[in-house]
Amino acid sequence: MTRQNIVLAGVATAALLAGLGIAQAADVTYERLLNPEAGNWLTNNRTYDSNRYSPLDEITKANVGDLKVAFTVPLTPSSKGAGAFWSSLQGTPLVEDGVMYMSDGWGRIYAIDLSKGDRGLIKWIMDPQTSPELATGILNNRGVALYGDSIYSITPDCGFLRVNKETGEVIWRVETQQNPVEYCTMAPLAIKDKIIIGPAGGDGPMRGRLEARNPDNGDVIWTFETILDSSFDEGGETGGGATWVTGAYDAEKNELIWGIGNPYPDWEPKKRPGDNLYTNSTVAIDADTGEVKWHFQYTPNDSWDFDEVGTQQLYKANINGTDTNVLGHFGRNGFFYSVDGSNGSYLNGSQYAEKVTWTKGIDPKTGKPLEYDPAAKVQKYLAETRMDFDLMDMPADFEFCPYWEGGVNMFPTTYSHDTKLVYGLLMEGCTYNPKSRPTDEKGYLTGAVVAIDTATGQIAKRTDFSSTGRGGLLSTAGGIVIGTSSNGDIFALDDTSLERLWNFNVGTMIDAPPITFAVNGKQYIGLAVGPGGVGLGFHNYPGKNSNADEAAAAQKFQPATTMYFFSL
Amino acid sequence: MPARLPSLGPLLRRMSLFGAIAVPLLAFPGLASAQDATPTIDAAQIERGYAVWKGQDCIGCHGWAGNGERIGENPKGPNLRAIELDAETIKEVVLCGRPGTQMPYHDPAAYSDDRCYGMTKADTAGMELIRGKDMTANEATDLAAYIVAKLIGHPEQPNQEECQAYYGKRPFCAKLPTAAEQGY
Ligand code: HEC
Repeated sequence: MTRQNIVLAGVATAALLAGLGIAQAADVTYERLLNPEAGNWLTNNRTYDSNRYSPLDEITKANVGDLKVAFTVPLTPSSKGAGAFWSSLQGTPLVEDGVMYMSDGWGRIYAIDLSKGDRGLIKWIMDPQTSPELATGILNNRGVALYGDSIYSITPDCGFLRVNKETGEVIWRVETQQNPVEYCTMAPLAIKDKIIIGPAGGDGPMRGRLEARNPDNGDVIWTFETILDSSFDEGGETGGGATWVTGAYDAEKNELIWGIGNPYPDWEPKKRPGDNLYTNSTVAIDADTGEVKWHFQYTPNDSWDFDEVGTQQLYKANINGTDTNVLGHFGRNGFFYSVDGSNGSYLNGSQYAEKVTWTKGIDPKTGKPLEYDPAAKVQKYLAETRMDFDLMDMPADFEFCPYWEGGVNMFPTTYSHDTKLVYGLLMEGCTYNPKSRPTDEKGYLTGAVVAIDTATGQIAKRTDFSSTGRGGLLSTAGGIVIGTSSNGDIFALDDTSLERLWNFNVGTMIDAPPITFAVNGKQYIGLAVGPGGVGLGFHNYPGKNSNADEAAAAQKFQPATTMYFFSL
Repeated sequence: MPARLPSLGPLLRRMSLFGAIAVPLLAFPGLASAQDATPTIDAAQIERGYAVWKGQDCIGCHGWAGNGERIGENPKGPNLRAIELDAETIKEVVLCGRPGTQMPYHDPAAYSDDRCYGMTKADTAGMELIRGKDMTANEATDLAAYIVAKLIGHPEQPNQEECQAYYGKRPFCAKLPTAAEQGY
């Protein structure tokens, strides 16, 4: 048999076995990624539009109260790399035909057979053997990509891997690290004949990029540099613009819609006069060439670490009577934005975080902060909140809101096809020097889920809770939104009233988004519990309503690395 | 000295007090100060110290070259290539950390008794006290020897040879000056 014939025979057998209900993975083609089966979660945001909406409807508003733990699967224990942080589970697991593919902070990949329904059996573990001295960044890998017969992932030290999906064997490894302060955490995105990756590390002197790579051999097809020299008066050591979260893909227009990270140095805008494009922006990139088609910048010349790598939601909405392709994005800076998906112009939006002190608001025409002065090299915004020193050197009486992690950080948002609402999971509060944070209510961080009307960009509904919103959201055709918070709650909300219909507490912080999938016709909610990274420091910020017992227990939260699976 | 230190008033006074009466030269004759350290250093010990440096948590906050170029959102540690501490003091800072700052302690039993600056957990109440990766006293001795021999007094910008020793043959090392260019 020729090689091609063997491959073809393999696919035929896989299809046959799938028909018989026997777990055997078929190829993940571009067509499947465009139109995933209802029971599967084949790419980071489930679909290219980043909606994280599932058509599964076995679990409904009426029965979600009966959700129970079906089984759990612990992964390799957490450990520290060369930095201060515990490795974490922050990834979105993928599920294809009864097998889950999950990555951990060290870049290991686990294939877990879920076909039994009442337990998960680890089929194989791929360990890239990342040596601790090269694990210099924050160890929170956000997931893998499935494409063809392979898995694509990046290790903490930016080795780009192609892995055999059946056996876990590494087919090749290509080094992509260009600078020692770079590290890699992004879940790659597979589109037609390309895998998109990019580095984290923009809180250090690096310059970000997106790379399209060849799925066959890992070669670079194009590189998009996120730092526009002409928008930085000082070159050299300034830059940033990391790309640490998976973006969206507009398949019709063949454009990648990607969020770009904060400028470096994070807190000292005078050191980088200019708007600092394309930091804190959404960029639309021609997927064939890597050229920018349009961009929209949220916080020019930032001083508060307002990365905008978080979810880029693509949907249609009726804006002022016109059916419009919209990019909906919860800015880490406290504002929700609707942007025209054809040219990047601002449509509408609103302030979704209660406490915002860095600007008086957003210009309803341009979408820029009201104080933004296009002629100024260094922006002023509201001077009393403007950072010009490291976070650790903040004066004791200085504060800015929202908190530097948001607002809505990179924790995934969701768009429901049924309610036409887009939901964000946020942190509510302000940033202080950790050494002088007020110990009364003022210093608390709390959380909320906010639902935005996609036609108007205005808040439709909001529900508050006592700890920060971390982890992520999904919505389903069953009329529910599943979410998580840093006190270890995983919960189900009514997608319209946002009433909490179900809650389960895992006893430590949750940092990873939930997914939903079906195996043998039964619907499950899956979630990684594995606090670490920056997150474990959150015990310093107790929630508003947390009583003394809860606040004290949060101080003692332990690293964990367990997969949870819930079903009716 | 980093700007933050003066605010540590009482703790610092206690530390310098203890520094003064600590028994010097436990493990390294000739290592009492950075200046006269280099000639008599035990190469095997420096090698062991380098292994500790690579396997510990220092790099996140102090940078792989110890020059203060932290990685990502790690807290910012000072440039260790520019400090003027002797090996014994470094060992103490590493094992006991600096209460009230982001510098973690690495002796798992620190503050369980008065081994660190004469202070117990109760004395550090209200101060930030961070636990780093666990380390034995012997590892701390080797690590301090490495820092004195290979980091202190070196230019802030690392050279190609240091980069290759750490990272192997990654292309970015080639952008740095060579040791010869730096006068080594
Ligand atoms: C979480 C971040 C962090 C980690 C991890 C860390 N340090 Fe530090 N280190 C600091 C900070 C911040 C200071 C400054 C403390 C102060 O203000 O006095 C410091 C200070 C020091 C000093 C004293 C410098 C001086 O001039 O007084 C030494 C020596 C040192 N660190 C060595 C190490 C070594 C060796 C390791 C690894 C075993 C390490 N540090 C791990 C953050 C860190």
